[in-house]
Amino acid sequence: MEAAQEAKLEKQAKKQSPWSIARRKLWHNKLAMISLVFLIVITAMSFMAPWITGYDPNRVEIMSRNLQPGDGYLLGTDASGRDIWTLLMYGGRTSLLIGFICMFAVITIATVIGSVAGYFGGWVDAVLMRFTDFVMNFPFLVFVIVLASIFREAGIIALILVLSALSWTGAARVVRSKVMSEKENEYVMAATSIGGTPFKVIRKHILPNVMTTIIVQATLLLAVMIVAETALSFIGFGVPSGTPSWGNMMTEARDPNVIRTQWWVWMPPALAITFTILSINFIGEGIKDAFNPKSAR
Amino acid sequence: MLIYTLRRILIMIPILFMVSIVVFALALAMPGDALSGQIDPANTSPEYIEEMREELGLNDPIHIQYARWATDLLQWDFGRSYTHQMDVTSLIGARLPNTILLSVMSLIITYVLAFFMGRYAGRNPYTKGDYTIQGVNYLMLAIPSFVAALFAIFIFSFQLGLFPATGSGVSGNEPGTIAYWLSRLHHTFLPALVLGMLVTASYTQFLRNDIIESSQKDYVRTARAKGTKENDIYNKHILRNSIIPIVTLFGFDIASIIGGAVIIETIFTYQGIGELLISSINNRDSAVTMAVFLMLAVATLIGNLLADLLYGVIDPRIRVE
Repeated sequence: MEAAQEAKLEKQAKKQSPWSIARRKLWHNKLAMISLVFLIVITAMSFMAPWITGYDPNRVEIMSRNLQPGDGYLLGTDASGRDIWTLLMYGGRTSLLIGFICMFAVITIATVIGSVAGYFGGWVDAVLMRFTDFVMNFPFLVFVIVLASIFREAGIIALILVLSALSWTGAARVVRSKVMSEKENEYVMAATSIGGTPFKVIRKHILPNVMTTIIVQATLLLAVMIVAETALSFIGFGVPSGTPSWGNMMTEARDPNVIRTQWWVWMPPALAITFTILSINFIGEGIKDAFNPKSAR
Repeated sequence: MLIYTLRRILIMIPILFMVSIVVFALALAMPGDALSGQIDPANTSPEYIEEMREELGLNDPIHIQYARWATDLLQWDFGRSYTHQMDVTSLIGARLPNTILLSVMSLIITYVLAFFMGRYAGRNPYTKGDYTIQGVNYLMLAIPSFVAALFAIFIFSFQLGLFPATGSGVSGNEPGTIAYWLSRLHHTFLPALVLGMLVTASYTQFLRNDIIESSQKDYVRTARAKGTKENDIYNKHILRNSIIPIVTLFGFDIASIIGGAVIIETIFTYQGIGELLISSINNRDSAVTMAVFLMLAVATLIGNLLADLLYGVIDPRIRVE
């Protein structure tokens, strides 16, 4: 009886791929699942803003400036009479979109540079890694501010390019070290020996095994990119001031009087950013934990 | 170790050269140049402007301009700020002490907080206190520094009235007196606390996990078997091993503080280097921007070098490569 049960369990265990185990672990991680739901809801609300709110985010209304929450406006209005609740959703659209686009751009650059450097080694690796070290030597935020000030007039696309161009270094190093250790496995030699081109070996054989690392890096990057965008917009080097974004909504709070008396102007975007980052971090932790064979859950 | 140190320092020279080229190229691409501050704004005739450009050497080929800038740098001449009407060297000299005070204070707060929180959480893992510290940690890691700064000003300055919201406390008191220093420390505390938050959270986490891991190790079991007091085990045996890795991260702290200081100083209108960088970019004061950018890049470089060297001291394997 017991033996039969054991055999059954073993069979069941064999059927599970690492991915399905990870999926199950993630599903049972309450904190990560709540965070995921929160992130999906906040993203959905941001992208469906026109259907949720009746206000135009750009409508300036002199008669209703600096209104407190209530008074016909759910979260009050800002100094130019714009509805904060509406701005919050439209701002989320800008900030999340920039975050996601930058994340994809950065992780692509990092994967390409990391896997080429790790797979080929030798002088290719040396050149690419010295270049990575060189970019890393600059203080990230200062470099971004200086570059962004050059392209200040060029708008959101320039901001995305600047952010992506400067933040791939850490992830590239991680991918490289992972590819280097993966390359030593025999399946790579087997794939090469039957005539697989380097491109094919990297794409079909190595990358699937490095994927978990890449996903974890991507979640971390998403949080970093959203923080970078909002911080830049806050000090006036990010999204053009007319476009609603979480960072732009808070620029008014650079005046201490606004911080003191008009908390409803800066607190909603501040909380939105914090909870978004918090949920992304929990999701990242959950994914890391789910793919860790040592963790029991 | 000596050879390793020398080699690391020698590698810095070509990197410094390349960094200076990047800084120069970016400054050229930025809006505004040395001209915008030095001409008479009333006189806009093209001949006059052309004459001034020629005089300032802005019509020379780029590599000659770079060579001139670099030679000046080596002679400790960073040019002149037109918004402040003073030499950049003395302008930075006036601002630098504030930033250094901010950084040192932030590091002290970071180390003290991380030490006590990490030690407590590591000694009492999976208790209520540990979970509270972990929760605070997650919050500190998630909240961007400028958001934290706004909340800190709102709560500590306006609701509780404990700390001033802005300024660096330089004015109002006779320099050198006790009141002057107290005022400066009072003004610096809040920005320093916010600036060190991210590092505090990661150190606390690191220390906690390291203490928990070490407490399972053989040397701890041996100490317990010999009847060593629990306090001594934690304070003398475990803590000494767990603190060493944190010390090596000191170099990276410098880099992270530099990035954070730019934003924190701007919010608190703290008269330091970071605030100077932002205002000089906004005023198109190119000589100041170049000098500060270069300075911050060099400081980051030195921070990274320090991290490598400290790591070499701790882990001899690094030196062999």
